[in-house]
Amino acid sequence: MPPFASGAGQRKLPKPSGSTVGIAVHPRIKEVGLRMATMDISGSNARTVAVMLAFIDVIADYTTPPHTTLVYHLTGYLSPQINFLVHQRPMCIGMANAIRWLKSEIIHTSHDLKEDEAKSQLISKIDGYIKERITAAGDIIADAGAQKIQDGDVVLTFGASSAVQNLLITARKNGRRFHVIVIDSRPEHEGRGLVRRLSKGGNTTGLSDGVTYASLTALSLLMRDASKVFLGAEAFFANGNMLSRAGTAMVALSAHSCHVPVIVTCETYKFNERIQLDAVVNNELGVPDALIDMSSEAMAQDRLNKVCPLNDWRANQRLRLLNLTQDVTPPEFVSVIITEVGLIPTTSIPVVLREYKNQI
Amino acid sequence: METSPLPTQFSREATIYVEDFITRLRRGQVIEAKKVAIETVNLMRHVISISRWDNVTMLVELIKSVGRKLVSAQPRELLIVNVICRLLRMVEEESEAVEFVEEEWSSREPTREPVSATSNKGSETPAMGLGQAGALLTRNLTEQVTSQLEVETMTLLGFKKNIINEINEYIMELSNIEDDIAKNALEYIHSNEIILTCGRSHTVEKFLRKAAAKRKFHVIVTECAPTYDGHEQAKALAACANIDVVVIPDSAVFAIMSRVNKVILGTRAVMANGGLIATSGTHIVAAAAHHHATQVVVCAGPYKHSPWFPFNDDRFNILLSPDAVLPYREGDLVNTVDVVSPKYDYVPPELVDIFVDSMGGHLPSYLYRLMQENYDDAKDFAWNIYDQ
Amino acid sequence: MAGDAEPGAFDIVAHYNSLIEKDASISAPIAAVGSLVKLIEKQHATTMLEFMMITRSACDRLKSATNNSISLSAGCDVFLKQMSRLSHAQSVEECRKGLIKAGTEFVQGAGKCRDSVAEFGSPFVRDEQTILIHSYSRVIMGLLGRAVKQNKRFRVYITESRPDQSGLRAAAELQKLGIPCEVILDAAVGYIMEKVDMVLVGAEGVVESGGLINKIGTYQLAIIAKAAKKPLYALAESYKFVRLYPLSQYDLPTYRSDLLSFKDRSTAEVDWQAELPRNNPVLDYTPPEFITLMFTDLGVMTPSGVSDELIKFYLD
Repeated sequence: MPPFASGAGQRKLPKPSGSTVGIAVHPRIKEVGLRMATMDISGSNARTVAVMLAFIDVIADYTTPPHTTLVYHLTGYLSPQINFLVHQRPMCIGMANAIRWLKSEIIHTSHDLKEDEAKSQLISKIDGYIKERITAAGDIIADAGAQKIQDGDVVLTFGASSAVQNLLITARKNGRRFHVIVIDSRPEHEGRGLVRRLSKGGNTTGLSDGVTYASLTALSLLMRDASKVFLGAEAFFANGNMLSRAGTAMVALSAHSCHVPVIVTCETYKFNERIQLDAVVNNELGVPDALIDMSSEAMAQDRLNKVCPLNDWRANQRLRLLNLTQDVTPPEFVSVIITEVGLIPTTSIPVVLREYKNQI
Repeated sequence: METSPLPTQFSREATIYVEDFITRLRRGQVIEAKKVAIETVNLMRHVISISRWDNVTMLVELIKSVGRKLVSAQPRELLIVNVICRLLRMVEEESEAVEFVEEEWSSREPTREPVSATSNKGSETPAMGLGQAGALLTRNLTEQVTSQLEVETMTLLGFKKNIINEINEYIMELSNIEDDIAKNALEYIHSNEIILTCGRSHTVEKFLRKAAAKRKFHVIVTECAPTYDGHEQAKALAACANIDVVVIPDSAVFAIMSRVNKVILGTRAVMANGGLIATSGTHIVAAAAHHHATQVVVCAGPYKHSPWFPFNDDRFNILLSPDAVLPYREGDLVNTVDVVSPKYDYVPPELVDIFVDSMGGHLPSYLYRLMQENYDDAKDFAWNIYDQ
Repeated sequence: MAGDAEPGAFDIVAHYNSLIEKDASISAPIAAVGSLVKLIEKQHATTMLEFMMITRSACDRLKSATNNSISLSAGCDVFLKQMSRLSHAQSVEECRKGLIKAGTEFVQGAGKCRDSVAEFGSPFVRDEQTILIHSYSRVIMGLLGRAVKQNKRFRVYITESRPDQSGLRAAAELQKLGIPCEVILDAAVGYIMEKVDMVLVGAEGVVESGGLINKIGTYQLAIIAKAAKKPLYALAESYKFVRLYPLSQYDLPTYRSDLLSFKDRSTAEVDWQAELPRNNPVLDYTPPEFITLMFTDLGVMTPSGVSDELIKFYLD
């Protein structure tokens, strides 16, 4: 087995009982977890919001057992819920950050509060976190990013980032006319969804002077026409490296070598104090069989009937399919990060991290 | 493009062969690079042997006219032009040291008495400088040298035989080209290395297989949208006992590159500056490798050397059916977007570290020289072809 | 031994200057060869050694007498190489005749060279392109003129190219051809580069490294073009290939230590405007890594191809 293909295993099936004894997984958590596993909820923001909303319900339904206090017990109570979620799908960094924040909020809750008061305080804090760090942040980012689009721009984006989508729609509302190039990749083809959603809020000709759709392999041809590249990020590490949907690094590299500015949207709650040097040390592995599923590829009729030559890959010990879903973009490819605290260079990430830490 | 009428010395039979080949080209029945090259040479051999030509000039004109016809039918197929230029060069070389003796076309008996040579440039005095004048000068010097050598006298028929023999040898060379390139494999691949390649290339497959006869290593194959023929490549390689194959989606190339020791690529054609016209997706792979300072090795036989410089990146590209990228099934989307699906990428020479052909490795900057050797003045044919 | 021309004998420098004055389109190496032909027509050496010595010293005199020695020396080098070739097997008289003949042909063929540069280069000019050119260059004018005749539509930015402002002359000529053009400040090259599709420069001399020597400003233009990843094509007739291998800007034959050196000006009132042109270099050296391709009359070639041609010519 090649050294890079070891690491984390494939996504596990949900364990019915989990590792903790005696504490049931809350039905809302089960629902959210399963929807994440089936990719019904995907994308950092959507997943984090869904999980935080679920925790509101969990806390609302929670009663402190006798002989203990909420501050001591609640974090322990949440652990199996979190474990369940992780079993469904590895946490994204934004979600992990949010949960870490929640735990620290619980620990810092005043012992003097009554249970009801403590619960409602926590719930309103979570609500505030969602609003301030995610929803409102997204709006600020969309507004700031839309300012960067000028008439006649050719905007290139990769996959489907909700932040980029909002930004493009905002720019259109502001009356900007521009062309969008959506670059997409197998196996998820998230870009098709973006194209569809962009055309839903009015036809595509209203959005811009049109939308171009192409696969990642056509990137070098299309990059020549692009005037700006907008990308979404899953996380930024303290060294300025960006974790994102696999393929993003190549789009940024290509833009960098064509002197096209790369504009990344990222809410600060996705900034991480860890440092990750490359995409192999830590990566979420997708289902390998997604690579042989050609059903969304509708080749010309003759190819459609042809089976994928790798269908029986499991029969050959020396053949393996590796579906890496993330990659790490070096900071030199990123011109600017648009956050809710302003437009910042990648070198300023540690500063933002420190400021937030001081606030707590 | 209007197809130019074939010259009159064309027999009806030859016309049929040419037209048949053109039809098969247009229908996409001849696609694989080596096949295009071999079939073109085969066709030329046939046309040369059944057509009537009375001197070298007529032969050259014959080859050129068939070439022009093929190019006007498939203007983006670089390989045809490469092969035609090579044949023209062959005729030129073959006729350089030859004095023809006049005789009946059918007569086989060579006569001893030389008749006026067909030398077309010998009368000029040496000019100066490196310019056109200089080119003449150097040529004159080489001519002086060759004139001191034995000048063979032969009949046109004997010459024709020689040419056909040369062409046969060329076909042999083309048929074995992949094995000849693969002979170098052990110099480039070491045990336990991790090699990355993209899409389907028979040349690369043979290259890796040859190395696998002696060494064990890993190969990562990218799928290469929209044809996904990386799957076939992976299957073919995994059949080989010493190769561990990993298939990754195109999007994971950058993520995996930090673990890759070498990138080995095939290409459709190589431009005179060392740039590649290769399957779309090659550019990002090469760029990712370049960023990681990973060596990029390109396996390409001399028949892929194009005499052109890439003054227009798009001229040799072909746009494929959008269906492969965005299925027609997604009807609502298909109506609202432009889908772009190029067949080829242009990869600039600075992203390539070394070219490997049957002779060994060459720097991209040296390709220009090889091209010169292969084609010499015959490249003018290629350079002028689009002006006509 | 060199330099001591006999009184009353043929003055090669004067002849050279008169050639340049007479015909604005003649380039230095051509004029040099023309003058050398004239020289050997007039001199009466009886031994091969004397013949060669006279010719060599005339070349030295030419090189030292003009400020444009790089381009000129390309012509001298070619002539001397030809002489040594002819000197091996032939008598003085035959050598003289051969040289006169070859030299005359060389001069006559010069115009053709410029045409074939244009012919090889013009496919690179495409519709809707924006081209940046530096200074005035006859061979660039030829190329653009040809492209216009082929009905190509393109725009040209021209650097002003101080101190002689030769860019203005180029602009006037291009405007006459009906090409949309704008003159930019030499300092605005970085500003405009993003909007440019390709850069064309001429050359005073193309050197053995594959680099080139050209009007001051070419080097910085090439650096900016490379930084912006824009192709830079150099146009040069092959008679401008010179046997030089410069290692830096200060390794050129035109180098003078007083150029841009710090002088003691503590007391005097300085007229900076007047100081500027005489204190500044007129040429700079652009290394090969900044040149995408060369358009020459031998064809389009990579910078390394130039070295190949030089090796071929001087090593046979």
